Amino acid sequence: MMNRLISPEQKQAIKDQLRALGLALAVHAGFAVLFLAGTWSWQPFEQETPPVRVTLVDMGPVVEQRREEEAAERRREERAEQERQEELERQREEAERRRQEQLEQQRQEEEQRRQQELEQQRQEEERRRQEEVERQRREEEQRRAEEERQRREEERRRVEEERRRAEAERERELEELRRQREEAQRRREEEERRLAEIAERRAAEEAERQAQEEAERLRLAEEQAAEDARRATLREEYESTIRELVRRNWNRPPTTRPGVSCDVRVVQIPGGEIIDATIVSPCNADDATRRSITAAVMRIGAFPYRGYENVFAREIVFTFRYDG
Amino acid sequence: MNGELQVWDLIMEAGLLVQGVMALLLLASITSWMVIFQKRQILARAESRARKFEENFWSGADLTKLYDKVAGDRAGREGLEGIFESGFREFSRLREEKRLGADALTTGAQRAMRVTLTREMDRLEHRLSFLATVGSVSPYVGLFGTVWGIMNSFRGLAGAHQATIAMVAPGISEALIATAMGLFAAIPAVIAFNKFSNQVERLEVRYDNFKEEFANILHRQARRLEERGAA
Repeated sequence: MMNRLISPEQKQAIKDQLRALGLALAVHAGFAVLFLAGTWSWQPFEQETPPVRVTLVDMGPVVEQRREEEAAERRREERAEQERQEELERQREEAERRRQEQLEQQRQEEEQRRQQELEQQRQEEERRRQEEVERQRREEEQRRAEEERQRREEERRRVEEERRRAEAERERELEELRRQREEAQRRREEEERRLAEIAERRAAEEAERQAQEEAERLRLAEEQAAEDARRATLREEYESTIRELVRRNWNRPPTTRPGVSCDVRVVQIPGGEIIDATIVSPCNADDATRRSITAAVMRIGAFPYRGYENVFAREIVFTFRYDG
Repeated sequence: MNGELQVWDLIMEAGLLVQGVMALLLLASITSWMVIFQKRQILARAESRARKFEENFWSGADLTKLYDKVAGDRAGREGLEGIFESGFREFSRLREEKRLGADALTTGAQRAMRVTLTREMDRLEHRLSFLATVGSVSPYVGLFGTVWGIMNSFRGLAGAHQATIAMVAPGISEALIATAMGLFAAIPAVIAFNKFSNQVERLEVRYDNFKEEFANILHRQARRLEERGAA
């Protein structure tokens, strides 16, 4: 039953898919093996360093005993040595003391004699120095008085000099001020004169310019008038040309009566090409005539343009007349 | 045994999200390899069949006989055979209606062949886009897992008083596995996608050429029939 429901193609497809899945898994397994092989030699991340093992052996008692014995031996030797030393010391001190006494006696006598000599010399010396000091003090006083005098003289001269110089200075400044004031006065007068001249000249120029402008304005007005006149004639000419063109292209329908007068509005583009033509009121013609007129305009196709650029307009309204 | 345990432990100790990303990438990788193998088989088969059929066709065999043979083989109605079969069937069906001209006959056959060609291209291109998606997206997915894992390990570092590289290194290492997996999934997918799309394009050109040439042959035959009918 199942076999018949699943067509051979579908069976083939499922088989292919399973095969592909198997191959894909095989590829991944292969890569996983490669990956594991590649990371085989990694060190563990939190490797603990092995603790250093230290054994303490207590050697205390043995060492202590040996040390005490040595100490007792050393103490005995030291005591014997000390006794011998003291004996020697005593003998040497006795001899020394006797020699010292003799020496002391000699030295005292010597000392007394030298003391007397020295005393005499010192008194002599003292007297000489006193005299010397006195002499120097007097000289010093004289010199100081002299200097004081000179200093005062100097001071007086300096003050005098100072006063004279200040006087001269003030005099000169006054002179300078006066001179400046005169100079400023002179300059102001000069400036005033110059300004007056300039104002005068400017007034003259202004008057002249105004006259010229007036003349120019008159001339322009004249020109404008002439231009207007020319334009008016050109416009008339343009319109009559258009009217003539329309009349020439007009096919008169049989129903038209003389005395037709219709306003025609034409739209054109630069270059004169006609875009549109319509009849606007007032118009006293019948329908056929109206149609014939617009047809005539459209037949022209293009209005004259060259030479009429100045009067060209996008929209032109002209009156079409037929008088029989 | 130590190293193996290390890597496996890293994967197992990773955060839930990183594990999810890894599982996703593994799945994508397996699926893309499946597609690769399937496509390879299909394309290889299509190419060899096309070669065989073209040899058969151009050896000057009788077209009617060839058609009977192809139409009888149900499994063989794909690739060039399919195009040939649909074109020829449409042509003979239209020929039954005597009124149609040579151009109309050929146009009808060509239309039928174009439809078959489009269907055939669709079949060949089926699931190639999956490869493209895996190739372009899985590096990003892996990177996402890595970034997440690194974020977590740095967050753990924030509470510690004595920060050492040894505290974050395992976390970063486990996070980087996600990137490695993403690249592992993406590289074969991109290579296979480029290869297969190129192959499919070449097959399409081949089919298209055959379609045009066969249309020419049909057109010639239709003209001959028309002339004979007129005479």
